[in-house]
Amino acid sequence: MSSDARVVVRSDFNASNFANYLTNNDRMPSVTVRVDPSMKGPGLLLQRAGDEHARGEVWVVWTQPHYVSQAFAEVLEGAEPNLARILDQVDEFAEAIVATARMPRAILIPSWVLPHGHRGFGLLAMRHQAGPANLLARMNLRLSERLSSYATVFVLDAQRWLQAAGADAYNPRLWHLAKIPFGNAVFQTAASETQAALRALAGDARKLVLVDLDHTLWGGIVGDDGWENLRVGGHDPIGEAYAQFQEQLKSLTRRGIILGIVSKNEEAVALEALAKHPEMRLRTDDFAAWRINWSDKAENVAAVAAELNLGLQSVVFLDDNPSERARVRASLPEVLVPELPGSPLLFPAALAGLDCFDVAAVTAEDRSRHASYQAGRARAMAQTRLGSIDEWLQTLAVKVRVGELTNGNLPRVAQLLNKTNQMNLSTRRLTAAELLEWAGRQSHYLWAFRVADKFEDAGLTGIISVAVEHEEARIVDFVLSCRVMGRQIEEAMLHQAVEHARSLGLKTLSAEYIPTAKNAPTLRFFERSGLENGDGHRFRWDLTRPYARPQHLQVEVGGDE
Amino acid sequence: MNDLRRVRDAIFRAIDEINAQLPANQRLAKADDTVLIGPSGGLDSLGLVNLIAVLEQYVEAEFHRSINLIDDDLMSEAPEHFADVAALTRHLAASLATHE
Repeated sequence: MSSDARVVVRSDFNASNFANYLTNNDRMPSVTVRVDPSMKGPGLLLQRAGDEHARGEVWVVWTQPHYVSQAFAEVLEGAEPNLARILDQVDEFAEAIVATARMPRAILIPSWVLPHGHRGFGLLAMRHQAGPANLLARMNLRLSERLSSYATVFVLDAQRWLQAAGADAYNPRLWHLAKIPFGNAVFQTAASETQAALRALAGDARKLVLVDLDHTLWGGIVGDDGWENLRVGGHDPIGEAYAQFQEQLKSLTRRGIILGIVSKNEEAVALEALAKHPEMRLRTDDFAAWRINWSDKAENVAAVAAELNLGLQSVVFLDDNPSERARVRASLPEVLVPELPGSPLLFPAALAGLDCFDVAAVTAEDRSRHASYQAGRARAMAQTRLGSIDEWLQTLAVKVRVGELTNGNLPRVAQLLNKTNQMNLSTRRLTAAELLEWAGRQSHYLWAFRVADKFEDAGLTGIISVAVEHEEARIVDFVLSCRVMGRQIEEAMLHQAVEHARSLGLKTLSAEYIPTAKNAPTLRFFERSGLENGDGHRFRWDLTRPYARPQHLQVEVGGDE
Repeated sequence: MNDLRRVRDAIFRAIDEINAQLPANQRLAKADDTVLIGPSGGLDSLGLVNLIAVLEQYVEAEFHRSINLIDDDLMSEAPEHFADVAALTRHLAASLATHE
């Protein structure tokens, strides 16, 4: 995320400390914060209704349950619980959120926690529909349920921030002196989590984890000890920790994170360990790519990222060796190289604590990404057996389905638009609601492309959108996932736009490349696309001529994708 | 370690916590002559309240005694007790001695 994020904090308490921690740290993105005057109840949200400046902002709406629900406040004071009234008041608050949900870029809502010093009446705390802790859980669930259909509203788990702060979660002095309800440790965690959320909203989540092997993925040195003697699993605390670490890495693949190996080893020896050790949780099939050799690890990290068509800003590198970590950190500053603790017993906790994988949504495409890269490896092996690129593409039996924007594909299209960096003409970022509104305007057209080949269904991986102005069709978005780049889907997308523009009787199709630090592959494609190149960044196509569709593709137009 | 040094260390820990809330160019130095309040001081009123609240918590943990620095002094009667780190150290040490 290159530019500052604009955050507005709206709360019913003094949120200055939270705002200060959010502003003054070295994490990305840098944040400019405005704290609105504190106010209790739904009016907190309504005070800026109609504010057009809110469009690019992210709001943090942090409230206390006893201020949102008077009925809950009365329970804390010992009154008879009235669940229906409490939930009505939660609904009223949720409606105020919904009424303003379209204004900012996103709304983050820390979940409600019991106020300081309230034990929840001990034994009665969790009594069904009566205990304060029980009622509070219901309030949080109700709020989450009421907001679940709003893609830009997120309820954050504040209870975890309190747990992380431990005894420092509350400082009663701060409350009585300045109406600050939590200790600074809570605000520090909240600030860190808010910035992780901002990165997720910007599509800046890390996508590739590269791991070392000896003393990182397993205990021992495979080249010296032999695979039979590596410590993974078994009745051994160290082995169990490595097994848990591997299981956690494997679980990342179900969230769309790709795994790879960068290790100084003999490749055959290392792969034999992955294949044969009976307790190994990760096998070779779990890794999309690897460099197992004696070369410089920084070079190998860069090589694996390039092989997978991922930028270095997508990479996390895990290595037990501080020297290797320092080397990669110094050579490739975009790569995230977390510190690993000295003891492998602490590796699982260190991995679980990383917030760099947070995303705003997990789609079916995310869940299948690992399989996609596995298929990519099979595809690459097939390519090495074949001659020219054309021959290779012919063998893939690529099918492309082209469809318009619908409510069904909107979340994935919005995600693709906001996450894709490399093949992205304008790097325009829009929320789902903004995108729907844009595509619904007259003279605006948007098509989504679903791609499959004989190895896999890559899913919805391409977008082209066009705005018609006078007699010209201007390409606004040209977005393609790196998973399918280089298979001439790019040409198929141009073909779709050109043919539609020709059917409208337009004269030219144009595209303007807006450079970013990451989208050079887009320029390289347009330079070889056949479009006339104006000043290096502007491209045109004379619509008296058709734009050929790649022959090896089977294209189906219509349907919802 | 004598009490004065322990008191100063508690103040420095509190300064660390407060500094994390401040822009880099406004952070307080951990030194006796660091001015806390006044025309050339580094803290606004909320910053000072933060420092005192955090400091009282640290002192409680370190000395196992509860103190109240806020009562009268902070607001008006003896603002000189909070003028700089050295003054605050002396004031805190005196408060602890009184409560022994």
